[in-house]
Amino acid sequence: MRVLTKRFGILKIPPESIWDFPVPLPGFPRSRRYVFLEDERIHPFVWLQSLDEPEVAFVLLEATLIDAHYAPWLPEGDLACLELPPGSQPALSVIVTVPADPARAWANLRAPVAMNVYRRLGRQVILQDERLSFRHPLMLAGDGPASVSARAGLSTRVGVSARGGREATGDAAAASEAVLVGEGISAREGDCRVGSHPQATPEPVLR
Amino acid sequence: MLVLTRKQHQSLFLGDSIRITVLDVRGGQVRLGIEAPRTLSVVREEVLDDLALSNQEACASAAQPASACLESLAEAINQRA
Repeated sequence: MRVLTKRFGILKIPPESIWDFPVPLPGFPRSRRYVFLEDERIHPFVWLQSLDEPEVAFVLLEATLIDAHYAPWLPEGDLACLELPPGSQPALSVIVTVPADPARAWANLRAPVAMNVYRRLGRQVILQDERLSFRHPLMLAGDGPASVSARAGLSTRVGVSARGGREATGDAAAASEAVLVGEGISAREGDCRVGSHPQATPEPVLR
Repeated sequence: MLVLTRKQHQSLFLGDSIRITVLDVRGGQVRLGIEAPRTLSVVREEVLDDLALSNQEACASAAQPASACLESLAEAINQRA
């Protein structure tokens, strides 16, 4: 199917990539169908794009990339709609918010998105553990927040690329990209790949 | 909406396995005791409302064409591994 999205333009979605969120994300009652979009430039982040509302999209990150020991207790009743096989646990990703200063980006560890990656069913679960934050900072002291802000300076200095570590020849292209981005048009349309999910491994084949 | 009136210490059942007891009523506040299987989640409405706002904020931030910000964050995370 072809779907119009605000950020990525028109996407061709194979039906087998479509996810169902039987319980919609709180705040977005009209969106039930989603697709995951991968862009290797932002890996390991992935996009969760609504197929029901073109302007609705979220940035997701596997929870264990923030906390390797993230294994919160999940209320079984909430997981019923994911139709998981008995004894198996859902994959967990968290919704990321990137404010104007990207060094302050945070992830919602208190309400992860639980997923059955084989059946493509997902829902957001609210956890009881108050030690888990709705706004868990993504950046650690060792990441050098100054470098994150500097590298992402496109938002404030149109035409100047502060991409540390990239080839110098990329600057001219990056500068023209910066102008497009500044005008509110994504220069990345068509660059995203419709994905299954980073945590989905090939389904085991029964012989 | 089904409307019932309870006094302190009275309870009601939802289905077979959920029991709600009015433990205390004072100062405009009601203290409720909830006995339910652990499989059932119990959430205060304002927490759900806060989550809705948090999701909307995340969606709004994702609508900003700031791919470079995500790229630099991704770099930082990948360098950690």
